[in-house]
Amino acid sequence: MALLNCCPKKKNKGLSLLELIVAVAVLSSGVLVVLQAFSTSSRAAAISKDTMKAVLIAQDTLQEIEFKRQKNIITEGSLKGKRDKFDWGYTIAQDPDSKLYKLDIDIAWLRAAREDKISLTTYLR
Amino acid sequence: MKIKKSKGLTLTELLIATAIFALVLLTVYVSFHAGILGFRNIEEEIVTSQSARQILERINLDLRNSFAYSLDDSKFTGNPNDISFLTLVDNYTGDKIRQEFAFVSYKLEGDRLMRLCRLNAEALKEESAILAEEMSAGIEELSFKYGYKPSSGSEPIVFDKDSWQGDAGLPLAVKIKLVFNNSVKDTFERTIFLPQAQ
Repeated sequence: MALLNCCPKKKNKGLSLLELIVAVAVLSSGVLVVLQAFSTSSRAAAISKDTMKAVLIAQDTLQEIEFKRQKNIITEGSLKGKRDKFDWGYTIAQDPDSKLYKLDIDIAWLRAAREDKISLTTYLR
Repeated sequence: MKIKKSKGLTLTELLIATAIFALVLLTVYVSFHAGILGFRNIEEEIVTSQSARQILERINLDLRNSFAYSLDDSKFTGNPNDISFLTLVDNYTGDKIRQEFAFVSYKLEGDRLMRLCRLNAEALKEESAILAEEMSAGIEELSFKYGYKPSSGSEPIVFDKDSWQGDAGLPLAVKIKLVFNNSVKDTFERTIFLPQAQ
């Protein structure tokens, strides 16, 4: 009520425009926070779903390379491809000292015009 | 200061206040309702991807543990929409984990994915009383493709067969396609390589 006391000459004791604006601002910031929480949770769910699908693709790629290693048809180099909205690619390079094959798998996808990516690295004997 | 006659609220003031309050409540209700609808959608998608992951992981484990019964009959039967084979499964008896052999099959019954698992002595009995168990509902399609090494050509593996008979041994790999159709349609694909296949 300090706001009212500052203007004692005023006849009208109702809400001033300033008070109304403050009240609306407080209310809308409260609602905004709640709505923000909803959209954040839906975004988190979308991210985890995409990550899960990307990991499935990575597992597939890894199993395929393991299979090639087992059949001794592994070759150094890289390969790229696309499955649904996921761009996958891998690079195989043999380490000169240990003779291990270093395998890098990258999976990238677009979510809301931004690029998300997972990268995995492993060594094959 | 002028003294007002009526110090209480007039009916009009009350009506206006109530209307504004109702408007605010309505806004809050609408936003919460939208939130709840969104939550339901998300929950359904999460349940779908979780069961897809669980199913694919289960099939992966069974296939990678599978073995051929004999040279001329591997007991591996692959069809476009169902699959059955012999495998090793972990069996929990009491507090011990034992690996036991089993006959496992996956197929759709309506929109339900059924997994049959006949352990030990029951494994080779065609007329067994053991029934398939439901893994998940809401599945529209389950299909398999079988990978093998062609006798000619340099390709290490091709996936142009949609059925596989037991006398051909084990396939090199199995490509699985799983389509869920609850309220949202979602497709999951995995290729599983059988390290034990010749």
